[in-house]
Amino acid sequence: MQQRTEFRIVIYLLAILAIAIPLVSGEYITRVAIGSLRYVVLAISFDILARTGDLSVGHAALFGIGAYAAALFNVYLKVPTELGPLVGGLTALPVAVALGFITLRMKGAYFSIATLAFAEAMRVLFLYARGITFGAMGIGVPPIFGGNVTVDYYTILGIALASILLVILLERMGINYAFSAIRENEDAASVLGINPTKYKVLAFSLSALLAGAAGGFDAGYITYVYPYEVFSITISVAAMIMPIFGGLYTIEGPIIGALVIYGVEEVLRGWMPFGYTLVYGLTLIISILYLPKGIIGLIKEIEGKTWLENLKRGT
Amino acid sequence: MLNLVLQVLLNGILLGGFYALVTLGLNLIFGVMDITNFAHGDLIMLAAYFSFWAAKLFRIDPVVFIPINAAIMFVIGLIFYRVALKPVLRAPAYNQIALTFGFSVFLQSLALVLWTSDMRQVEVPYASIVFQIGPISVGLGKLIAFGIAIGFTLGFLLFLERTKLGGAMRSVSQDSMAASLMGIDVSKVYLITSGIASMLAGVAGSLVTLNLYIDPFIGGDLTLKAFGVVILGGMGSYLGMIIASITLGLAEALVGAFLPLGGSLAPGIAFAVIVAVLAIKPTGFFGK
Repeated sequence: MQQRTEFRIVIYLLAILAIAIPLVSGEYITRVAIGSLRYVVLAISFDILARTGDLSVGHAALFGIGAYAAALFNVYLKVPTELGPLVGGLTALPVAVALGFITLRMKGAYFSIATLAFAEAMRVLFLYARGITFGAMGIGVPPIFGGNVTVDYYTILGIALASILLVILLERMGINYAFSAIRENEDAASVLGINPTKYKVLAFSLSALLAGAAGGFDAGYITYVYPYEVFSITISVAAMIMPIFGGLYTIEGPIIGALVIYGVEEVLRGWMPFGYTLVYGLTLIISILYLPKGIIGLIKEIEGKTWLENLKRGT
Repeated sequence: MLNLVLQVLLNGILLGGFYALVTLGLNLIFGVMDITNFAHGDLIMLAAYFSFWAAKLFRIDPVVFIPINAAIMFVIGLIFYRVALKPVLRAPAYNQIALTFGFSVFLQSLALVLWTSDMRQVEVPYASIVFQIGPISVGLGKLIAFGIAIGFTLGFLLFLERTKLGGAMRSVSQDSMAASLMGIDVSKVYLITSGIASMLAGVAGSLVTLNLYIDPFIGGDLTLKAFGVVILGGMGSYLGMIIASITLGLAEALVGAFLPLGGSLAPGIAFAVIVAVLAIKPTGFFGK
């Protein structure tokens, strides 16, 4: 019980901090916070899909589709960029349904291979269709909320909170049990009457909704969409490493992973402009080999054994 | 028009031969260990930079360097087995994908630090020699790459069929439990398989420098094409792999020739192939 109360206090403190950031800190810190919250959404998006045991190696595809949808709807149909997250999410969702029904039927690495190819294909396609997408030049759009950083911050905070709520809802509604059953043993799950493909497509669509929303926000926030930027492998890699490092299949894991890794990246990028992705690769390797349940798993393990007692004894 | 078609066919077949060698190591590791290696293309990229270094620092021709590169990459393959494959041999697909992808990111970033993102090229004197056969032309560089690629691919398949070690590899890929009961040291076969797969990647890496520019990101592109080939041909099937390689090479050559700037669409073709096969016949056209 004590653990729970302590945990709640930490959560409340973090919530107050999250709300207060743009009010008490300067523009730079707020922008870093916006950047990290965007990755919180992507990490949660990756984690929802991973709950069925499927690994997206090209999550940038969904993020990029969201970003391009927001930009193209703005340029051709004058849809305001403020609606970008909605437009982006709702565009990425049906794409994921279509791709999911084709690629999620097979066990093994097929889905991951398809996602990797998907991200590459989207990049060359958006580069190629210059008549519509302006190719490598990218598309400029008006800034979301007139470029007000504080409002931008609360927008992405809202999307992040909505993503967390979605995961809580999945867990409360019991859909998560179906996801876990499929992940643990697909054949056993189908014997129990769970249709694996259906649930996998559901997980992939929800994942796409969030990744597309993050991309749709990004378009209006950065005010420019470049194919090399929004479909970059760095985004796919980050979306994968953050939740794995933090701890998959938990609510807190992806959030902690995104905040820690984005923070480290922000520092490293300064003095290692080329090689900071080296840390990405190493983090993923070390996480898989030595931290299979991520930071959250490590904390829980230590906590479960000795942490609280030691604290009480004062050692 | 007929000349153009002939030219495209030739280009496609030459490219396809190279893709067969690119895919061979990926297919081998999948067949024997049941692991999909997402870092396979990055091993080729690494070997391409070794070839670049050999040419730049010691003026060694990429073709002459092939045996040395193969030996270096064989050792790297042994190390790769210890750090990237052995820990996840019996693990769920999720761990295998994440770990090998982690190594892909690691190798790419390492190349960025060592060689920066600049495009590099090895200049060989004979690359500019072009043969004219009637209306169609073919560069000597491409012809050499094709010959060596096909030579190594067929040579390896012969090794798999005729030698004791090759037989051990085949039996492990059919049933590792039964193989171990027959007295085959399975973990040793795994180790050597990884070495050979990486060695073949080394040969492919040398051939890359013969005709193409290299940068740290070519590995992802090569992995993607190898995936397109194994999915089209059926994972673990070698006959399927050769036919699928030529098919992918032809498809790329066709799109490159008949669409304006079609050459830039190559990754899109691999994706289209993957989705189409998974939609129509998920086990590939020659799969088990």
